[in-house]
Amino acid sequence: MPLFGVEGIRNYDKYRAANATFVDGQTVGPPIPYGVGGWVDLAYIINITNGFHDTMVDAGETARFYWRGQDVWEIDIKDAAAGGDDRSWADGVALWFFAGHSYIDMPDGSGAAIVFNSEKNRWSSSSRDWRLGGAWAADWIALYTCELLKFRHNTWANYINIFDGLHVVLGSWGHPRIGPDNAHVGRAFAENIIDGFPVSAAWFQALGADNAPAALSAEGPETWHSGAPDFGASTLSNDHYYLKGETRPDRPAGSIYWLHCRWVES
Amino acid sequence: MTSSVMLDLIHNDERAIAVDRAVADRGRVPLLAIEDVPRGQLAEEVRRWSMVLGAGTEFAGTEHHHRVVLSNPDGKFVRGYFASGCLEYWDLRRAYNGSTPVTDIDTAVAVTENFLGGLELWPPDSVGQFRPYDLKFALSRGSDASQATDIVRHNALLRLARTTDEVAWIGPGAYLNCIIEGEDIVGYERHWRPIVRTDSPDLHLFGLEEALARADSRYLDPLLTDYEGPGAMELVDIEFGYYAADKWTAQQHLLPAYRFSLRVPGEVAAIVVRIVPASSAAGLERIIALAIEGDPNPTR
Repeated sequence: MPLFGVEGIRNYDKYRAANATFVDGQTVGPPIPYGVGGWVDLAYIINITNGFHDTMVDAGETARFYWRGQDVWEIDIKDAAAGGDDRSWADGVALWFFAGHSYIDMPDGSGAAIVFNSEKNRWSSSSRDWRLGGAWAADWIALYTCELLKFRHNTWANYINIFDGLHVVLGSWGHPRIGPDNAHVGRAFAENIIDGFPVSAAWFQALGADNAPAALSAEGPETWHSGAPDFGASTLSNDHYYLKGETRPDRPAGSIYWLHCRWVES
Repeated sequence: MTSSVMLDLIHNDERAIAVDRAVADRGRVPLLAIEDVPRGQLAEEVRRWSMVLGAGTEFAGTEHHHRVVLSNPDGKFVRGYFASGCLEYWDLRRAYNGSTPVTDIDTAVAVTENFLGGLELWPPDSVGQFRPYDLKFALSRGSDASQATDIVRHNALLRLARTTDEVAWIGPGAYLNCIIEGEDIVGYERHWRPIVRTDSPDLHLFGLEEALARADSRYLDPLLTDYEGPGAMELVDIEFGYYAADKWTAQQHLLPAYRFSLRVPGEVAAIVVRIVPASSAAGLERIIALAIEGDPNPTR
């Protein structure tokens, strides 16, 4: 029986109190004044995570955990080899759903760090510290955050470390809207999965074009075709949640041949 | 609770002033009721779509308490939502897949009109009520350790927005969404709530300043009241219109509102959307204000 896990952060008061940000090249804080650097609370985030959790459970799926606010920790996603505890949480479930703040983490404008409202053990987690799948459970991770998958350059180098059996990362190319119009994104995503959409199509439909959905998947040599990929045959295009259609097998890190990026440009 | 930050933005933005002037000129709009879509009627329409678009394949159905879903082995889905009458069609082997030559909104509109008109699938009585709203694209690229491929344009994503008596609709239930692959519609989300004229007096409309002055903390959270940033927030967009809720919501009336999209620049550059009532009609809050749910913070 596949398991899923949910984590969502609406308020960032503890983060603002203990951290600094940059405005016009100047360091501001700590504390960060409300809103400076974009550090606002994210109203409706819990509507989104509740919607995903409740819809999946109502359909008979099993939640392994659902953490909110200060109970969402950096070690939940950080690879065990790097000092985290991902095998108990994000890498302990087939699908991990996270909603909160993130920012571009790498100098070339790619990669991402997600941000927490507690310091266990750090205030943020860089995607450079993630490695999911393999001997553990994760097949899909879905993050309703800003610019998680901003594919500019060096896609392979910036993201390949995440995949070791993980099938697909779901995120956003740009800035998902935070407001009542988007409060049902989680419910829509879960409903699409249950109805039998491929996981990536479920995400794209749920977010809609306004929220610049994006996805990244690990692929094998059979679809690469010497640099002219068969995008329609890829894992990204065909991978379903368990018992909802075809689920592609795990692909260990050493057998990944290419990464399929798909997005709606904002 | 008025936001001085918000008012400063409005006074410095030509779009906001234009919206305000249009509203002031109009002054009033009719209170429109939403007609219930009988459950059986929607289910029948979903079946008709599946027959038209299934091209000879059999559709199997499931009916949940709030929606009906028909699908076939070719990856085609038709769904109907009882609360709102929303109807969706998906060909998931072609949606977010394939390729399209469509690159501009005029061509996308023409493709949509040909497809829906040819199959007689426009909502009833919808002639002249949709206008082109925006066009985006679903794209793909492959990357291996040494190279990145050219970008493939899978689909054109067209939104048509509804208008009634020249008043736009806004909100998630305002649009007819079309996904184009090749020159076919392979994804379609029809938000279409049938309206009924009422005998109620017209609604008095608030201008932007009055609307903000009347809006309480349910609409204007700390972003607009406690913002302490030295740099101004940016007004991304401001829209006025009848607010139509999402597909899971049964909506009794159609009432006017302002929709603000604001960007808070910086490290995380959040974009927030807020809906503010443009009239004080009874029931407005119930329809357009989603309660912001509290955080239970379960002990870990």
